[in-house]
Amino acid sequence: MANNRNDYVIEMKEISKAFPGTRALDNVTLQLKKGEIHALVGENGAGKSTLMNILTGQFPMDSGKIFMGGEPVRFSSPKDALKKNIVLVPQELNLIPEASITENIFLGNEIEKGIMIKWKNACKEAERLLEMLEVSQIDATQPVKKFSAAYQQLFSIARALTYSPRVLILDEPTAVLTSKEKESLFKAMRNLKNNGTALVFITHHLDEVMEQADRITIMRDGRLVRVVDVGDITKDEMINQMAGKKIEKTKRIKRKVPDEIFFEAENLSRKGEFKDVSFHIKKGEILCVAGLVGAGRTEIFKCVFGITRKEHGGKTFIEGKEVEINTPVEAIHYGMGYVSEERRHDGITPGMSVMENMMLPSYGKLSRNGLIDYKRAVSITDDYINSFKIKTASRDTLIKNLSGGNQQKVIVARWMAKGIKMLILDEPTRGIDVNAKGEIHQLIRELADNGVAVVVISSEMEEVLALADRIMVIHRGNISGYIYDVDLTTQEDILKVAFQ
Amino acid sequence: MEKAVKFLKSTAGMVLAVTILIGIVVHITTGNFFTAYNISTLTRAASFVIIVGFGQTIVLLTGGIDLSVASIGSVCGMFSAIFMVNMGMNPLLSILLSSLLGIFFGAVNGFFIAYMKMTPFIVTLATMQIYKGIVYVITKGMPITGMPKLAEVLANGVIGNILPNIVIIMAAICIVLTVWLKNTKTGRYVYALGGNRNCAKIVGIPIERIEMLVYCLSGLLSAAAGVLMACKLASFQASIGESWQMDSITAAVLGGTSMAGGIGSVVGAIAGGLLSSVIKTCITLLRVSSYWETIVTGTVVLIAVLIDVVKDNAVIRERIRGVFSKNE
Repeated sequence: MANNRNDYVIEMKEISKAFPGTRALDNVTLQLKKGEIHALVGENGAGKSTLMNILTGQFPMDSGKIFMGGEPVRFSSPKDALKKNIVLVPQELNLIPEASITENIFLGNEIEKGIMIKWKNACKEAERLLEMLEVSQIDATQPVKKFSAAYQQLFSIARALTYSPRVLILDEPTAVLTSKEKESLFKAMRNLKNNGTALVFITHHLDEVMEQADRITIMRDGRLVRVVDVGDITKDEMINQMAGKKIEKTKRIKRKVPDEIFFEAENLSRKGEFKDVSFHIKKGEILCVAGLVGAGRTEIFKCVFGITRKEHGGKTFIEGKEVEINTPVEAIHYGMGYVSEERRHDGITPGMSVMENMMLPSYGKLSRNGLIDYKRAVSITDDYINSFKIKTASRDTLIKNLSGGNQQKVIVARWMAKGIKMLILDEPTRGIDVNAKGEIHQLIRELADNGVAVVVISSEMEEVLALADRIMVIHRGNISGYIYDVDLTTQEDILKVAFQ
Repeated sequence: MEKAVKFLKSTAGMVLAVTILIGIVVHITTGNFFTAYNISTLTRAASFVIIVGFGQTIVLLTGGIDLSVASIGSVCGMFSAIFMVNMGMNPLLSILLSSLLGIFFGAVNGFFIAYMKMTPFIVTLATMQIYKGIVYVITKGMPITGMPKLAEVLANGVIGNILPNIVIIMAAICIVLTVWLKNTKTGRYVYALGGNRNCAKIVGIPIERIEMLVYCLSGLLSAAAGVLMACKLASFQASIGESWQMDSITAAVLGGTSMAGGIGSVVGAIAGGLLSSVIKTCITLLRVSSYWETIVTGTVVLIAVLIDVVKDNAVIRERIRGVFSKNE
């Protein structure tokens, strides 16, 4: 038995973790062998990142045990994990653009003699590490910002190598790489594997999994589905198991959509985000935008709303007339509203009351002789608090004291009060409990029934299937397909379109 | 009644209460505080800083800062003196004209901050030097004396031995600004901008125009204070209002305005301005060396802001409680 255990570099046993409102991990076990590439796959929100964050000491776990070479270990901070040579290369690059390659690679892990940094040795060492990653003939004293995102990704991996990792976790390492760069990355991964490192490879690209991984752990909804050798599974089976067969049937309400187009986009592009995207939305339609995180869904609609500028050549039309939308002020003028995916960051003004947060865009409409008609503002706010069932002590309560679901209702009410014709909702129910979720879905349907064109960007397949009149699937900055007959659609179908 | 209770519970209300309390204590000790002379001198001196503090408060509400207020006051005070003394212009007209010039100087700040996206601290630090420089280049550091009587009476006059004209002007400005901030669209946008800039952008607030507006307003109010100060002294000196940038920030912050933006009021600037002024007066009345003045003011600011932080932050409250319970 004891011998058996030592086969594994790391064993995470029966790990559970809950966040307010959600159970992120439920009894998950992950075992990593020495010298293997272990793929970790699952939909957005399956719990992959949470599991890795626990392994690297970023979050504490609620229950479970971690063994390293059979010995129980406990990491209470990322430093603890680094000491045991467990290193994560995050998806988001965290390099300092102005600093040199060497400085970035050795940041936090400097080569020192006394209190002085030995730059010459560090430079040589940096170049040696980069050569291991198939990057040669590079001047490591150059600032990082001079290099492409692909190179920067490799610098991040080189930084991880300075900790001589026994476990190296790569989170979506290929997202920004071209096929040639991917090849050298895979070669480097195989080199590390042959040196005995256990690699965890998190990716949405299942082809890469099939080609590179030795074993696969499939996760869904915070649970472990299956651990399998790569030869014993096909890509379609993997998709099936990632999506799973949901027991509860999604409550879908069939709606009739009128045939009038409200908004149309033609050849929208933004460098590095999305390219030549064309689509339309009808009045009273709920268009759900599915796809993986980072596929460009949020970016497309930020551009539609004028938060970012579209590139030259893209056109937008409202009710058939071409319009120029370069700022949110203009978008709102044409009757659009926007509910951001980051409620705290750009949805609410935390220090303002519920009423102010709801009435902000409507103040112009409510003014008489330049003065705000607070009586009307109060009655409108109270109407929405009642009809949306917003749980708040009063309209004067600061919005930061409300729960996430109620804050979201206030934001939706904000745009209803303004009287909009099109509403873009980005992840409208993320981090919101089940009951409030249902209520928000109902509000979205009511909105559409009143003739508002509604766009719902969502990573939750269930939500998409419950709401959509039509599904638009985005993959790597392009529209990879539409699904019209939502009734006959399953989560697997959407994943198939997304992975094509 | 409800409103009065709410005001007393606010930072501005508490600061005002403390100010009056200090006054009472000092009056009991020295018997000199609540005299017509002392009150009128004190409020008159405080009013100038408070008017500048109004502008500073509005800028702070958007999350910005204006370090150039003193220099704008000085340069506009100089123009008013030139208009009246050197050009013989009608005093009221020159006061109005040179105050309006402040809008131009504020607009320069606003242009770089709102449209060129430069940091408010840096922009106003630079214009502070430039505007100050303009004064020295034009006057060569010499005072301009001989302002008309009418101007001096306007700024220095006292009604019934207790109510200075300048206090009335200050109160009128306060009322207008309070109504503007509370009851108009643009006023609420000022708070929204400081409360969460990203959210403000998404709900369609014209961020650039609001920023431009607040720096213009700050310029106008600083200019008005500078011009009236020159009138009060009946002569212009380059050193007019030298310490206003820090004094105005002190008044705003003591009055409960958050440096991060979104929280505060112009009434707060009155409470804050009065408190610093009362501290100064009391040090004189108590015959303490005036060298202690800045130490006391600085300490009061630290304590006031600390109370504010503790009031809203449970974590820090716990930490402080921890320190005290350890000692027990």
